[in-house]
Amino acid sequence: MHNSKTVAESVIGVASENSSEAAIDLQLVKEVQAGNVRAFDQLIRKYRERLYSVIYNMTANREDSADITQEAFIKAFRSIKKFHGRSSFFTWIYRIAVNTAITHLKKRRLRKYFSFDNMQEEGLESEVLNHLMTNAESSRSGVLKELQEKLNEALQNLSINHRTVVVLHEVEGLSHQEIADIMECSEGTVRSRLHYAKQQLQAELSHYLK
Amino acid sequence: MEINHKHDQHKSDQKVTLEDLLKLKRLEKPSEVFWNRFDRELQEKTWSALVEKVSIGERLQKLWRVALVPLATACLFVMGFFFFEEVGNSLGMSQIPQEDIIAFDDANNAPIVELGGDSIKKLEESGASKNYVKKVFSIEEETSRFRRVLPSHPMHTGSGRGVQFLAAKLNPQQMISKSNLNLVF
Repeated sequence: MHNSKTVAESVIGVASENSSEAAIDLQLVKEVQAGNVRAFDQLIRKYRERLYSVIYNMTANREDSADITQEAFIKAFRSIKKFHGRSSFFTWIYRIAVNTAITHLKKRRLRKYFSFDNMQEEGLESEVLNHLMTNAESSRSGVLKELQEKLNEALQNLSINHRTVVVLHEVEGLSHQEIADIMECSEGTVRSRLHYAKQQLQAELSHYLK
Repeated sequence: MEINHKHDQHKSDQKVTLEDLLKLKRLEKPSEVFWNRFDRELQEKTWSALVEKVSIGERLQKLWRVALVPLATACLFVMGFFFFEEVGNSLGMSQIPQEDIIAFDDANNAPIVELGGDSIKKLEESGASKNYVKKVFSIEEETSRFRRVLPSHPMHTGSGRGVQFLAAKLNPQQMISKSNLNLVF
């Protein structure tokens, strides 16, 4: 009972936090629409890392990701007058970013070129890594590098839609509903894509799942 | 605190899950240098987009200003054309002023009437004499296809719109009737 109350409280807390974030975003959007370009800088600063991360994990190429993220922001800036607040700015900008990335991936389907960002130092203290290290013969950084390559490779073997769902849910931590809004599909479709994608990833990464 | 500890203990006993592995992707982050460059480039692109946006708007406004007078003139011209055409049609079909009526006669002293080029050509092709009479007649008889008229006074030879209109309507086959007094339109 105590636990369920805590969960309920935390859900309410997250919801109210989200709505206040949405209100702040909407205020900034209105300022941009009124001609205050500087307000858009605040939106960029707020979302640049999250959008970059989504796009980076979809494309596995850091240079392309930077360009696509910038392109997504420019698209949003150009069409900000069309934003009427029917969805949250968060959903809207994510949708632009994901669609821009998907368009890019479709164009370059035949040319796969990976370039990765370095894993942050704090990752080396990761519990999961410690676990993986117990049976590893190579160094910590060697395991890390190998894991990074395998993870990205496995993700890139998924279809674009499946990869997008995995990235948004498992890496970015978005809810099924949020993903459905962004990808403009049903929640059921999101769940089904996620289930299928995970099955594929399980098979490809079975070596690490011990 | 205790809960966290138990949670950690429990987790360390478990296998590495796919979700755990995927969460490691969160650790792949670009450096501060990357973000500095990113911000600089994006700012440049945003300003370019802004300038482009403004210049497109300005260009459209300028174009509108420049094109307004010719557009309005053209509109007036077109409207005027259609208006007079409509009035001409109604006049031509039912209220043709008598002085605009064209008739053909093979009288010897007939003056040459200057009609539109096409009409003259058609007349020539039809074998009709170029020296056809153009006179104004009073209406004597009217059928569904043409009017039979009688000469009353000399034809108005001005190149008014009514004349041109009627000329354009001429059917060479009907121009010269047996009585040489048939008006065609």
